[in-house]
Formats: sequence, structure tokens, C-alpha cells
Amino acid sequence: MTSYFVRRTAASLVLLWLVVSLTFVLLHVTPGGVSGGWVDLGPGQSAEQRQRLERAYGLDRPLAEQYLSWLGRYARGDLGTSWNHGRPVTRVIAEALPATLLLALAAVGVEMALAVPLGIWAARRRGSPTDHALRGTGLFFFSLPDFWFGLMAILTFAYLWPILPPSHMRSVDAHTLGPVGQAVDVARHLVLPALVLGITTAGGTLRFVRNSLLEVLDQDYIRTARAKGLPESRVVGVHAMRNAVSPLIQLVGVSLPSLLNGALVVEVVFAWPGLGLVTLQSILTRDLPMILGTTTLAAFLVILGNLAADLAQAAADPRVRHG
Amino acid sequence: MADGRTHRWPGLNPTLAAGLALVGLVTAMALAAPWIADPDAGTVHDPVAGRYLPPGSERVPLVFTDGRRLLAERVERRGGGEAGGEGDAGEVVAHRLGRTEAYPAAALANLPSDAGADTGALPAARTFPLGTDRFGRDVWTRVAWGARVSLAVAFLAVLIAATLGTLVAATAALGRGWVDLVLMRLVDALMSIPRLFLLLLLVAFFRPGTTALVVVIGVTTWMMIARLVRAELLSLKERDFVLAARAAGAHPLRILRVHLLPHALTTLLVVSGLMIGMVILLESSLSFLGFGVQPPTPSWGNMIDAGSDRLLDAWWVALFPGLALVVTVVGFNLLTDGLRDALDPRRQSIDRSRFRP
Repeated sequence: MTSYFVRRTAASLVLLWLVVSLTFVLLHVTPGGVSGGWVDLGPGQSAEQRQRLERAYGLDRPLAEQYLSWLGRYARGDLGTSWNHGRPVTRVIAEALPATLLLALAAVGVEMALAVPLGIWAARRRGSPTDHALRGTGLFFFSLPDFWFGLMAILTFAYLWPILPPSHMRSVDAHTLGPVGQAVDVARHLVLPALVLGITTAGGTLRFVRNSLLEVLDQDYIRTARAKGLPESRVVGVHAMRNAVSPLIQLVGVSLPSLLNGALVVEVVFAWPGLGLVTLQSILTRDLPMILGTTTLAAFLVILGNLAADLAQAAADPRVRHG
Repeated sequence: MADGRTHRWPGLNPTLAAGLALVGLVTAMALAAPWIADPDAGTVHDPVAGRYLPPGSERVPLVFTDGRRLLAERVERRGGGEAGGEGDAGEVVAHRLGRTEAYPAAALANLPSDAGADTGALPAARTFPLGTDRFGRDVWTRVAWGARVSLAVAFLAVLIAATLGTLVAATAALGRGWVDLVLMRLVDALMSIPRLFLLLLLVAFFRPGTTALVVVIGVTTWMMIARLVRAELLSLKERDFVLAARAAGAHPLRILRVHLLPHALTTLLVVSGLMIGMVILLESSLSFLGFGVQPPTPSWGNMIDAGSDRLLDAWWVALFPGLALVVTVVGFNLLTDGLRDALDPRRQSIDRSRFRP
């Protein structure tokens, strides 16, 4: 277990190093990178001004030295200073992250609450009309463009039948409410974005749950359990699920990128003050340190999620860690 | 083939048929756009009266002899004939935006026939089945032309991704050793950046536009293709007929061209097909965010964006491009699902959750 843990963590660190190196390369080879927007103030700029900027950003030093200091800064968790906010990138991100995590957590809740029971249901009725209908539903959810689905949800549930707030995380007058009232207020704002994000990600998950359960249901020991005369609910719920849980753990790690992608778009549609909105604003204002910071953080979250999923799976399944 | 991996032509299962029908419908719409809609996606129907018309609105086109066009809600003809004396054709009264405007009938190129000239209304020749947008452009026309843009961007981007992916996969599979290791770690690193973040990162470094969009989507989506094709190539390399070719002294590149790539084609096609639906969603998401296809070129994504700030007054501007998008993506996903079932009934569980943008 320990050696697997060490190996897996080392691989994740290598991956992280590669991502940080990639952003460095991108910054130095693309026209919009350091040679462009970074030190280029426009046609009226004198050579002396440009040199001064290059010195300020350390661009006059050898490339290898720049790279090492780049790595060093990232290793220390220093993502630079946002041009737009004039504050450390990490602080801006730290303020936006809780909102994204709240949205993502709620969405995963919706996703799992939909996908797991429906996936099990479809697998138990393999080949039946129910199975086909559920697979079709999964494919439909999976094919929904989240931004459009979000807009239609706003139109329906915030205007035509106004039962929920259309956007943002808090009401304008939220500060006048008590702590309970504020929590309810945030929860009401959370419903639509979490449902939209959860439903669009549930499509793929439903199919994944169904397929991994089907693989298990084909095994000999399931036939044995059935032959023993165990009720079907016990065969599926206890014997099969124990082995289908392992891929499900994996799934949480695997679906993290799509969750972050979806969160970015959904946050924009619902004006949810999270990482996605910050990323979009920094791209609109060409705030390079901020863009690189949020991208690296997103990659970091994905790598961390995969690592956690792998380790949890190894703990649950001896075949993985000795494989 | 000896071990039963025959490449039989896929039978038509219901999923495949439904997918083919939907994709065929959208492709037909894209190809026939100039004939089933306005010949130009930017056609503005009367900048004032045509603004934000709901679906099904009818307008009477007034075509003037000098080529000017106007759309009126209702048209009457007054005077003319005996009452106005010889040579006087009377005037045409058009009702637009609650006002009435009178034009001399002689200035119009499309006068109704003399029968019932006193009250005869001009035929309502032009309707807007899906309404118009804020500039008085027909939404149906833009949905049809948008199909061209969305499909073209998706196909070209997937073509780039498939080429890049196969190239990397072949290099890794033939190179083995450290070449393979380096390339696959690069794939891992690129895949660990959520796709939209990676796309937006690249977009931030280049000027947005349709060409840049195709290239940027292509270079950010090849990794999955590379990974799956490499796995296929590696397993093919151990098969007897490849070993025989190698024992006979064939050049590695010849083995790749003659023995490996043709057999990996099925995998390549299925994975590329799977990606088309995803790439259409990616394109529309980027266009929606304002970094993809730039207006006035119509793309479903930027049309939804344009409709998003007037959702209440003009819901049809955002609704219909979205429906077209759903039909298209569902169609491609059904198509590839059915194709995979038909080609290889055993392997029905390529992890779909990885293919969400």
C-alpha cells in the first residue's frame, strides 16, 4: 500500500510539473505571451520603456533561469499578482473557490442522486424498454448544451413561473437577514445552477453506472448467488454493488474535469461568483497571471481528484494496489 | 480473419437509424440553407418594423422600383382606376408600427392585380416561421446557415484532432521506450487541464475567429484519440500477422501503413465520431462565451448569446438555435452509439463521461 501510495503521488507531482512547464512554454512561444501583451504597450512605446518592463518581469535573464524561478514560485504557491485586481492571484482565487466548490458539491449530489439509482435500474432491466428509455434519457442529458439549458431553466423557473431567483448567489438585501435566512437565500440561488450542472453531467454517469454494473452482473459468483436462491435485491445490492463501487469511486475523479468545465459555463450563465466567472473576466481583460493561475489551479484540482480517487480505490480494492 | 475479428459492415440497428435520420436532417438543412431560407444569413428585413417579430409573423413585402424593400404589417390600395383619372394608379397605404404611410402606386414594383384594386391587399409572401432577432434578421435563416458553420467547424476540428492523434499514437507505438513515455505523459498533462480552461487559455493567446477556433479545438482534443489509437496499435503489434511481416524484414513504416493503420481505422472512426458531438458542444460553448465564431457570422452558440439578454421579450432568439444544437448533438451521439454497437457488440462501454467537454 505504501509503495503504491508513493508511486501514485510521485506520478501526480510529475504531471503537475508538466502542466506548469506547459504554461511556461505557452507563455514564451505564443504571440500573445510575454513577447506580446506582456511588455508591448503599443506603438508609442520607446525601446527604453520596453527594456525597463522586460527587466521588471525578469525577461532579460537567461531562459533557464526564468524557468527555474517560474517553477520555484509555483512550488511555493505564489501565482503572481493579478494585473486587473492588483492583488495576489492566490487571494482572488481563494475568494472565488468556495462558491465553485459549493456549486460543484451540490451538482455532484444531484448527479449521483439521479445517475446511481437510474443506472442500477437500467442494468437490472437490461434490454427491456425501461433500459432503452433510461439509456435514451442519459444520452439526451449528455447531449444538452449546459449554457442553453441554463438559460431555458431561468426563463421557465425565474420568469414564466417565478419560484426561484434567476442569478447570482445572494439577494441584494441578504445582509438584512439572520444567519438562517442567509443560508436559505443562498440555497434558493443554488437550486437552478446545481440542477442544470447536475443533470447535464448525470447523463454520462448514468451510462457508466449501468455498464460497470452489467460487467459485474456477468460474473460467475453472481450466478452462484442467484443459484443459491438469494433475492435479486440482495444479489444486486450487496454482491454486485460491492464490486461496482470501485469504478464508481474512479468515476468521481474522472468526472471532475467535466464538472469544472460545466461549472465555468454555468457560473457565467447564472452570474455565480466562482472560479469560472473569475476566469472569464480575466480572459476578457487579458489578465495573464490570473488566466495562468486559474488554469493551473483547475489542473491541480483534477490531478488531486484523480489521485484521491486512485488511492481510495486502492484502499477499497486489493487488486488495484497489487495489480 | 483467423480470430474472428471480422470487419463486417454494420447492420442497421434502431439507434443507428435514429442517429442517421437526425444527422441527415441537420446536414440537409446546412446544405440547402440558401434555398430553404434567405440566400444570405445577414439579410435584414426592414430595420425598424422587422425588429423582434415573434415566430409565425407575417409581413407584406413592398418592393419599390428603385430596389428598396420594406415590410408592412398590412397594406391597402386607395384611389386609382376611374376615380383618379387616366394614368393615375392611386396610392398604396402601408400600416407599419401603428402608423400609416402612403406611397404612390407607381413607385412600387409589386402592385396587386387590378381586380379588386380598391381594397385589395398585397399577398403576405414572406413569413418568419421562427421570428426575427434584434436586427430584423430571420431566425430560421440564421439557424439554417448556422448549421453550416457548426458542422464545418466540428468536422475540420475533428479532422485536425484525428490527424494529430494518429500521428502521436503512431510515433509512440513505433518508438516505444522513452519516446512513448514522454508522449504519453504529455497526453496525461494536457488531459488533466479541463478542456474549456485549456481552450480559453489558448484563445487568450490568439485572436478569436473561426480559423483560430478550428485550430485551437483541434489541438486541444487530440489527446483522447492518441491514447485510444496507441492502445489499439500496441495490441495489433503483437498479433501474428504483424510478427510475420516483421520476421519477413518489412520496414517499420511499411508495417505501420499496410498492417497497423488499416486495422486501427475502426477505433479511429468511432472515437472521432464520438468527438463530433462533443466538439459541436465545445464550439457552441466558446461562441456563447464570445470567444468562438464572431458575429455577424451565425453560429448557434453566438445566436444563443445574442438571445440571452432579451430572454423575456424575445425568447425565440435563444430557444430555436438551442433546439437545433440539441437535435444535432443527440443525432451524432445516437449515430456513434449505434455504429459502435453494430461494429463491436462486445465493447459497449467506452467511458462516455470522458467525452463531455
